[in-house]
Amino acid sequence: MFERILLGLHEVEGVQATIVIDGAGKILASQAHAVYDLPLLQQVSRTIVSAVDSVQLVQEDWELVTATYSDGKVLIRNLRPSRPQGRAVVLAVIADSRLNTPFAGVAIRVAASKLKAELDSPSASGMVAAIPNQPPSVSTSAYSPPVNGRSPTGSTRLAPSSATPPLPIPPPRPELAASGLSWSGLSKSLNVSTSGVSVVDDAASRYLTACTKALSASVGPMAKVFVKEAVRRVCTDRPFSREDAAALVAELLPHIGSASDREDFNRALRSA
Amino acid sequence: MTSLSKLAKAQITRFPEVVATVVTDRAGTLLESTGDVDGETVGAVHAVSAEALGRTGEALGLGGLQRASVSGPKKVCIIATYDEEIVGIYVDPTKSLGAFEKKLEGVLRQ
Repeated sequence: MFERILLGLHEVEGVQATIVIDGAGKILASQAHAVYDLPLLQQVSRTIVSAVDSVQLVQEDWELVTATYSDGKVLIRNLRPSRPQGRAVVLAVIADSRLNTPFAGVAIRVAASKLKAELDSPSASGMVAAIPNQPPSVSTSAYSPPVNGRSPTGSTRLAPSSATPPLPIPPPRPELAASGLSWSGLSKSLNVSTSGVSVVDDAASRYLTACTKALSASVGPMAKVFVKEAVRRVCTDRPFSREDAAALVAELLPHIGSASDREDFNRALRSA
Repeated sequence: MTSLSKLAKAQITRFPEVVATVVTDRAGTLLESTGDVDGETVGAVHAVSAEALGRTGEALGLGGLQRASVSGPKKVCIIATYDEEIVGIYVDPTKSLGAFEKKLEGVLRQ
């Protein structure tokens, strides 16, 4: 039932993933594009709970947190189960820059009221009270750019199987290059934190930007993450240079599902 | 006085919607506060929230955090980042948040 409610949110243009998270950071339900795999959603759930726990200290009656990023938004709605023994539960909506916030606000309010009703029902009490981190039955599909505002999604259901240990948070990566230059993404923005990769010169930085733009046509906002990961694999501790382009492209091509998209990607980079 | 503190005092507090402001560094150390608010406590909360939300956005490939709004029936707060500082702006909950955010964006990008 949760999945059906979350699926309704994906009718809103720009919505990439929706997660229902309990107070301990465990995922109760989710609907997401395949690029947002379960380990990533679990990592994000923990940081979201960390943020709302601190907000709760100074604003107990908070209803909505809207985080605006340079390339998208995350909206976090407090579901606040009405049962005395109910634990805090939130709905997180992850969206790209196409999101129409007022439309999304309405859709989130509708989904929240349905989710609250489900959480308050007797059948939900067992789910909220004790949910181990279980490997879900995930149906994934390659990312497709939305058609008529709709995109394919994969749903995550918690299957009754053995618990999995919590995932470790990856250690911070070195940021500074010998050249002192680093590339952190497509847009200049007022960043809270950056984790760039090192580059030898501006040409290398421009190439990475072109790579990310070309890749985002196939995989969406995760392109930046894939490019950074690929650069770190190709270059390990040395800065990225234009000479590493072929190796980088070879690392990125497996992320692109269709042959025609791979051809488009290669074509876009030939002129970069 | 830091640049954001000056901006807060000179411009942000002059908006009629603003009831309080708190300016801190990234570590949550209070730099400036105006209005009826416990600057030290809420400033630290703003810094922690901004850091956690920043990590969220990075993990999701959404880029850097620009601002976060926390809204409730009695209180609305916008947490915005500016260079190495963080400002928390408490806004009259009866006023339009969207309109105020646009004004704030104009101020912070000057």
